[in-house]
Amino acid sequence: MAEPSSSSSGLLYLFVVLLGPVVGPHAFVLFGATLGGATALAKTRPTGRFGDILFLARVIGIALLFTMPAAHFLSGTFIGLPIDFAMPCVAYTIGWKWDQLTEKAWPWILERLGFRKPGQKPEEVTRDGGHE
Amino acid sequence: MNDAIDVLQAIEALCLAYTCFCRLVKMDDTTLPAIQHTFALMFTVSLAMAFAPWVFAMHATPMSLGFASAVLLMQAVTATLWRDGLPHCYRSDKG
Repeated sequence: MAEPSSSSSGLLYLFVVLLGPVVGPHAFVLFGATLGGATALAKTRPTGRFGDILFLARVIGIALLFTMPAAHFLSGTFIGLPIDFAMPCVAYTIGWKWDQLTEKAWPWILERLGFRKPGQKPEEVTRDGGHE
Repeated sequence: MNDAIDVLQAIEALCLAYTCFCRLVKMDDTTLPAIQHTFALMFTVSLAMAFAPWVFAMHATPMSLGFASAVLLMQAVTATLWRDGLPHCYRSDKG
């Protein structure tokens, strides 16, 4: 039986081997999304701690979801930016501005679908989805 | 020894991220933008620092550990200023 080597016995080594290849290429995207989400969190009004964590998780998740298509669009068709450079920037922008974008987009969509009268003001909604 | 330093730095970085998060949630749109962006950056870098040894194989050094300790100490000392919410001097509408 082969003797276990010192490197394979370490839990740290295992983590690096398992997580490195998976997270490594997308680390800057995750960094950008978290930074954008944290900036958006600073701009919104305080609610409960749990609601704030949910807000941050939601914004980061959305940023991660939409980064790849948006970055491919930017790099492939529109501006021609290198994809490695575009992805973190797109993730940051989506994370930072997503809430403001949806704030403007949702009323427009609801008006077009007929759920809201044109010009009707939406109710103010806090971070956790509750009404003020 | 190296593993212990990594774990200690991860604990410090997570504490630092938590203190930044607590301050970020006290901010709103009346906060100075520079303060918002600075704390958002510190929160993100702290999280990255916490997982760096396991994800990027960037190990902690005594110097990085000392620096994280100093910043954490500064956060702890200035926590009293944030007890009643955002400090007045960080408001953009302080007039």
